[in-house]
Amino acid sequence: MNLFTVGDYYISRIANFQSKPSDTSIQEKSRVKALILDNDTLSTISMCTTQTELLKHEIYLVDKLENIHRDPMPHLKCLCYLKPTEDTIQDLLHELQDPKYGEYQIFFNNQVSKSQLERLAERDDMEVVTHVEEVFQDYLIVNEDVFTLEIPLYNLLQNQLVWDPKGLQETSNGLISLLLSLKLNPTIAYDSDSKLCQKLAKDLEYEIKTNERQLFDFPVRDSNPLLILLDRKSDPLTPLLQPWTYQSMINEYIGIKRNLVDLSNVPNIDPDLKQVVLSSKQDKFFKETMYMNFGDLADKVKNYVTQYKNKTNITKQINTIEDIKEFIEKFPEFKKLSGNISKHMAIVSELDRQLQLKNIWEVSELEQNLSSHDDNNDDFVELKRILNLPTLESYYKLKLCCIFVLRHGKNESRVSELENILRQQCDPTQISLYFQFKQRFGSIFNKHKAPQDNDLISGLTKKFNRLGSTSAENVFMQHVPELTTLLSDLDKNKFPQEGVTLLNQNIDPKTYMPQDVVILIVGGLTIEEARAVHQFNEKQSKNKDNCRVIIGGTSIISTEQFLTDVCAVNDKPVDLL
Amino acid sequence: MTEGNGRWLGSASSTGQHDRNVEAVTCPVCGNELKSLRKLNVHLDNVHGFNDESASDVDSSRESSVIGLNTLVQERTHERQSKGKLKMNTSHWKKPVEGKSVCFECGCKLNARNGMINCRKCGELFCLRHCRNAIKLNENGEYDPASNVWCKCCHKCYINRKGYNDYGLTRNITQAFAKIRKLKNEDGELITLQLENRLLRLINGIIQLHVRHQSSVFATFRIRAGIIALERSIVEWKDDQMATQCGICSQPFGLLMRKHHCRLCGQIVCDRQETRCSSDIPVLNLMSAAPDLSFENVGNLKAISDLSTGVRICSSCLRYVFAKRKLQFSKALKLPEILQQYENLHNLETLVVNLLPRFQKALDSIHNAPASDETAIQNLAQLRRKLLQNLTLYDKLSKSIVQLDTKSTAEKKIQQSIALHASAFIEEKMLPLKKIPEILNPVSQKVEVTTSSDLLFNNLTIAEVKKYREELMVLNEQRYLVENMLNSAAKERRFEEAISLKTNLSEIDQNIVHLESKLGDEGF
Repeated sequence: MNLFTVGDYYISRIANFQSKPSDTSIQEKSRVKALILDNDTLSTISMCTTQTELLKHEIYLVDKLENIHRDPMPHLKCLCYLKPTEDTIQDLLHELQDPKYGEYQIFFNNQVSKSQLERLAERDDMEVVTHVEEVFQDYLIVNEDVFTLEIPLYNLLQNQLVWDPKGLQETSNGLISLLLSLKLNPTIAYDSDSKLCQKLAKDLEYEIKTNERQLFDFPVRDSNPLLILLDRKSDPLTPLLQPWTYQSMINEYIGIKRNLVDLSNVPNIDPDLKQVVLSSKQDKFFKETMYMNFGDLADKVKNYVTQYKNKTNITKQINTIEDIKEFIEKFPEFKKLSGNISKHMAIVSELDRQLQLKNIWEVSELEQNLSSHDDNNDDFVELKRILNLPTLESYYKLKLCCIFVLRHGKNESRVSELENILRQQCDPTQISLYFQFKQRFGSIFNKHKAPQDNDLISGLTKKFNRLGSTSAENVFMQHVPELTTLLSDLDKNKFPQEGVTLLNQNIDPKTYMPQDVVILIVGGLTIEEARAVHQFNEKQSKNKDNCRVIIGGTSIISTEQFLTDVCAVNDKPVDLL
Repeated sequence: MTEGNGRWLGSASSTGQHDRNVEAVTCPVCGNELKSLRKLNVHLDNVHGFNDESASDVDSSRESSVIGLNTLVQERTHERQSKGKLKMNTSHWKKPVEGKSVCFECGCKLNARNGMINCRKCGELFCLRHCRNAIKLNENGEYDPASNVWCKCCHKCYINRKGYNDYGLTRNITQAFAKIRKLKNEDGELITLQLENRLLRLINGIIQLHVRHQSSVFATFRIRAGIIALERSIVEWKDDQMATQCGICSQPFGLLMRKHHCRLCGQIVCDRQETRCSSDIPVLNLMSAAPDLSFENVGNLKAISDLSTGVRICSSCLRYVFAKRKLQFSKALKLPEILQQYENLHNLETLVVNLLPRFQKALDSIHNAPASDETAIQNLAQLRRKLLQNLTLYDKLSKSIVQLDTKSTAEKKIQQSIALHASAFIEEKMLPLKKIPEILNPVSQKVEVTTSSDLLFNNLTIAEVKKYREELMVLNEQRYLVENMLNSAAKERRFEEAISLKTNLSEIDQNIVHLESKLGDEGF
């Protein structure tokens, strides 16, 4: 269940597919291949491969389908990798009407409807299409065990409780393609408190059991794979806290899109480093450090640099010809290494700058204390002090209040005190955001959370059950996502005891022993959760245990995005038609 | 594993007891330490219990109670016991031998402490750490998803379950596509045939008119009159009066928008420059665009240039008749320079890639045989020289590709990509080669030091050698091509061809050998 392996498989399949040599009319045919993509597949491809790898497959020309100014190259074979959306099909129809290449092999990243196929076939009167195939990759691969469907919440929901029909369709399509690409015919479970997830679960079940039965005809497994649908609403605390691991900090403070990190806003940046590529697949150093916290990361980077220095020192003493030779041999390696080092140095120093600039150290410590301590006076005094800091961005003040309401909303006197401070500190839109948040989550969370916290024993067992207990010593990482409870159940080869419900009532959750699990968080995944899953997987594979988990979200969110999403969906105009 | 030890022990000794006689296992009663009373009980039950009637039953049920996977197991055990016990065939289990058996996975000696357990599926013996996965088996120890019994198995059996590590579903819908395409385009093909037929009649008629009247004084008038009559006979023209707008672009006709009849379908269309709904195309152009149609021979005409008559055809008919031909025509054009060059580059690349493993093998054999073998070293040096020279050629070729003039942005892009690829290729393949001298040096210090290090810098500049190498490369390429042709000829059973190709090939081979020996004499 390594998503990168699946991605590689699909790409080599697309690149190297040999259709039968039926077309004899091309006397001279080039080995060179062109790859035509649309916006969606361009993201998919760029997340799981590089140009160098495409070049190895002799794909020397990559272009977008919507670019109508492409030059005709009748000697080339054209590989089209497309998502079967209406726009793309239209563009493809235009292309087939006036073909620019000699031969077309069309690959769709999800299922094509019959009418779409008919339209294409009708247009292909010149018979340039030699192959049509569906591969199933209608999702983006973030890490080897993390995927995202990249649907913003605004398009996903009509309001907090109702799906947008299109969003539901997209989510379901994406998930189905993921399941097919992993050849899983899953048992579905959903977040017990979430009507959204229940609806999605039912839709998926219908698709799998009736519409796409033929596709899902995989050999029965002794432990049926499990698909768990979770709702972001059930754990709104995790996405509110400032993250402290490398990948999630990049996502939070700089932003990463399609593996591209945009550093152009960083002051005094080297022009070569304005946009850098960061992928856990290609960059070994990043793969090692992506889930490390900032402190460990700094050490690691330091080591990396000294390691580099040691290597360069050797080459500095160039006296003999042999030295020169050695230097020349190792030069490409050096170049690569130094490029990578300066990249990571630039990112880390930018992160550090942002942390200082935004007072994150102070804010985050308080956030963590608020979220994991019981309501107490010390934290509250500290909170008031920080809220009154004139240098702090008002966004963080707003967020602190949201966290307080989530955790200690019952203490109404304190809440109203906070609200008074907030009114002085923030502008009206932010205040309205706060109230929307409070209205949305305050009540649910209190009700849900209260009995658990009061019960000493269940609290204790929870603590013991949690994975990665080492991180608890760190003040900045005291909070543990809700997801870990579920993971620790899986670790014990159990179906999670609480929080999720099996759609199929005939399966006894007590005897069901899930081994391969796919989790989707509707409303967005945080990288902190991805990290929890990654640690879980590492532990499992190290011990050669039974369980493997892949996690994904309808999108990958940062704290700010989570808050703005909440308000965007609330403000969405009701579509009366 | 410390916490699990006791628990596991019970199972191990129980297995042992069941498999062979008790005397091989030192049980806790016999002095082994167990962690708790309960475990001791379990152990006593198993080892010294009176499980006379169905040893395997008790064992297998106990087995799962000790699977140690989770608390569920107990429930499962109850469930199974209520359903009746599973009789597992244990004939394939390896018999443990005290002090001799080792874990199949890690090779550690198996004893009571680290456990001793059969993978229920493959029957191999494992220590407890390496037999902790769960699998559903039937009574014959075969994987059976429908079975109700979870058994312990080793990791290998676990991951080899059917469908476990499967991925990458694809669905080929080409056939469905082709079927629909055939169905939908049958009409189109008929129309094309009909239009082609009309075009043929029209053009042949025009040619005949020209031939008939070419000597006449009133040629132009007669021919024009003849053509007008002919055009009307080919297809019935639509009525002018009824048409108010162009049949293709739907623009209303007016003073500036003249009406035209398509001579192939009779439709009334405009001839605006912007839309090109119809165009007046000279007969000769039409003929050369569709050379496969059986037009009448124009050789009878005195002056072909007289045949300047144009035929008006609408864009839809043009597409029906000529679009496919145009595509075929452009496909049959010669490859652009850059693509041709690339083919050469690619051949060279395959040559290098094929040589490399041979080189690696030679290198390994020298490494493995510490005694310096002169011939082997020379062989290696020769191979290396070959590789280096090919790579230099590759480099040169790629540079010449980079310097080619490109005719379009697409070609430009391809050029850049090739440059990238070539430099990556050289970097990747060159590096291991450069490292060799160091490895070679200690083996044959005095012989090789100077020559091998010089190789890199000096020898390739010798013009003569370069020339030979280039020739050799061309020959190698040719050989490659001829070989391919030979193979395909043999496949398609064209034996006459194959024979001539074979002689050709042997000639090339001779030349290659000759050149190689020559190069060897150049003594670098």
